[in-house]
This record gives sequence, structure tokens and C-alpha cells, in this order.
Amino acid sequence: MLIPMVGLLTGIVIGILCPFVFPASYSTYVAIGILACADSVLGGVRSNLFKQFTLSVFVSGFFGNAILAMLLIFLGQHLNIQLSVAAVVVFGSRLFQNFADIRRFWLNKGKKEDNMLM
Amino acid sequence: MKKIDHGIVSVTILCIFLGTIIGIQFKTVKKQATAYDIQRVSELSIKLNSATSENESLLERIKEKDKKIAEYESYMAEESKEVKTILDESSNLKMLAGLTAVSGRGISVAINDSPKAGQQNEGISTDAFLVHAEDILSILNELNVAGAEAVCINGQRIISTSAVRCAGSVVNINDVKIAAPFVITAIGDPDILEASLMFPGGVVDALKPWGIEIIIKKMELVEIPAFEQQFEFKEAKPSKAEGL
Repeated sequence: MLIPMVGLLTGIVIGILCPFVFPASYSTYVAIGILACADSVLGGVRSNLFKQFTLSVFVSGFFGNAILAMLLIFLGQHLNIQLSVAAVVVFGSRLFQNFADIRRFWLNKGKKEDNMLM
Repeated sequence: MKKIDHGIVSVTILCIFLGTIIGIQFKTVKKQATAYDIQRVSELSIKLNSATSENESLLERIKEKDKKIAEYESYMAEESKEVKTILDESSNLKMLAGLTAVSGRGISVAINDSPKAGQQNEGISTDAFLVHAEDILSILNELNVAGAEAVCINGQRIISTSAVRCAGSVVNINDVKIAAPFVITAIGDPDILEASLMFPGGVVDALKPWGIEIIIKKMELVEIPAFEQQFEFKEAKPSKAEGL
């Protein structure tokens, strides 16, 4: 699990060092992209821990979620509804859920039966 | 074994991607916030500056034109007697309207916020120790009742359409921002004017308990400037029933 963290830090450094910025009007889309990405990362970590990882699910989940979230925002902007809230809430709660699973896994590493329940 | 490898690799790739967007977005947001503010402020201050200087140059021009008009008038007055009477009448009316600077006997009333205003006062709002637009209005009212002929507040001549209005921490008079200390000068019988403010239960009595500083000076010569802004009647017309 150390390698993805190193990857994350490397990414942040690359992002801050690289010269260009996003156009201001796409700010919401990028923010949702970040959330979708973070959700996928935690989901990936979780499934790795539970040995349920499948590449197709991971990739389709990432792209599907990101695209759906951005479509929601696009629609929301044209209908004047804050649909981005829906995406933020869902991604946010999933982040916490995935994190909770990972946390439990690490805490209960010794006791096998608990892992199965979560 | 191979599956776990897959997982870690793809998660790592995604992590790098995630980090990159977070980094770029972080910069974007930071840049936006500062860029927008500074741009807006400098834009507005440039606009304000140009408007102020334009205003000043226009006022200069008005003064020049006024001078020219006065020259023409005096020239005309020498020519004929009728014009002279009309001009006399006109200058009387101007004085009444507050369009000419006037001087004479009068008083000056200086009022300032209470020194207690800056301190912590238990249970009493700081507002009570400040001079408000209402206080100025009540002084103005008393002076007018006592027969003040011309009044100005911090150099702003009070005319028939003048308004004294609270605008946050300052007071707007003739649309000009004015802050404490306020100096109200009035032309009229000094004794009567002073008495109108000092009588028991009057304005001074109402303000003194709060510690508001009021200094009333009787003066032999008070200078009161003319009303500087432009005023024009847009809606009001002379009533026909009045017809002379």
C-alpha cells in the first residue's frame, strides 16, 4: 500500500510543478473529477485488501462514475439545479464507507472472522 | 499473485493521476482567488479615479461659466435700470435658495462622539455614545425653529432639498460623506440660536448624559459657503392655479 501513496505524492508534486492551469469555467468539473478519482482509488485499495480486485470493474467504475458525474453537472448547469451536490454527496459517502472498510481491515488484521463480516 | 499486482499497479497509476489533477486544481483555485480580487479592485479604483477627476474638471468649468454670467449681469445692470432690479431680485432669490455664500452673526456648534464610545460599556451598546444623523437633524431643526437664516454642516450648505442620512459609520449630507466631529454653523441671532439648543430638556440635555461633547460658540462673523452641487427640478412645475 506504500507504492500508491508514493504515487499520489509524486502526482501532487508533478501537478504543482507543471506550468498550466485549468480554465476557470471547468472548475466544477475538475473538482468532481478529483472526487471520482479519489473514490476509485479508495475503492481499488479496498478491493485489493479483500482480494476482490478485477481490472475491468476498476477501470469501468472509474470512467463510468467520472463521466456520469460530469454529465450530471452539465445537465445541472443547464437546468439550474445543483446536481453536483448529488455527485459530491454520493462520492463523499462512498469515500467514508471505503475508508471505514479499510480501517476495519487493518485494525482487525489478527481476527479473521471480522473481516468477512464487513 | 498476478491479480494483486494488477491491482496495485492500476491503483498507483490512478493515484499519480489523482495527485496531478489535485496539484493543478490547487494552483488553479489559488490563482483565481487572488487574480480576480486584484483585477476587480484595481479596475474599480481606476474607474473611481477617472470619475473623480472628471467631476472636478466639470466643477471648474461650472465655476468659470458662473463667473462669466456674473460679468454679463453686471455689464447689463449698468446698461438699464429694469435689468438691475431683476438682478437684485435674482440675487435675493439665490441667497434664499442657498446658492450664494453668506456671512453674518451666528453660532457654531461642534459635536463629537463620546470618549466612552471606544471603551467597553456594560450592558449599553456603543451606539448610544456616537453622534447619529438623528441628533444632527434635531439640532438642525431647533436652529431652523429659532430663525437660522443659513446653516451648513462641515461645509455642506443645507438647502430645501438637503438630506441628512446615516450611512454606516459616516453621515451623508448633500450626498457627501461626513464623519465626526461635526461642526454646524448657523447665521442668525446668536443668543436665540444658543438658547434654542440649551433650554432645559432640549437637544443638549438629551445628548449630554451619554457623554457626547457639544461645544457652542457665539460668533460675530460666520462664513457659510454656497450650495455646490447642481440641482434641477425634474417633476415639479409652477402650479397653474397660482397664476399671477
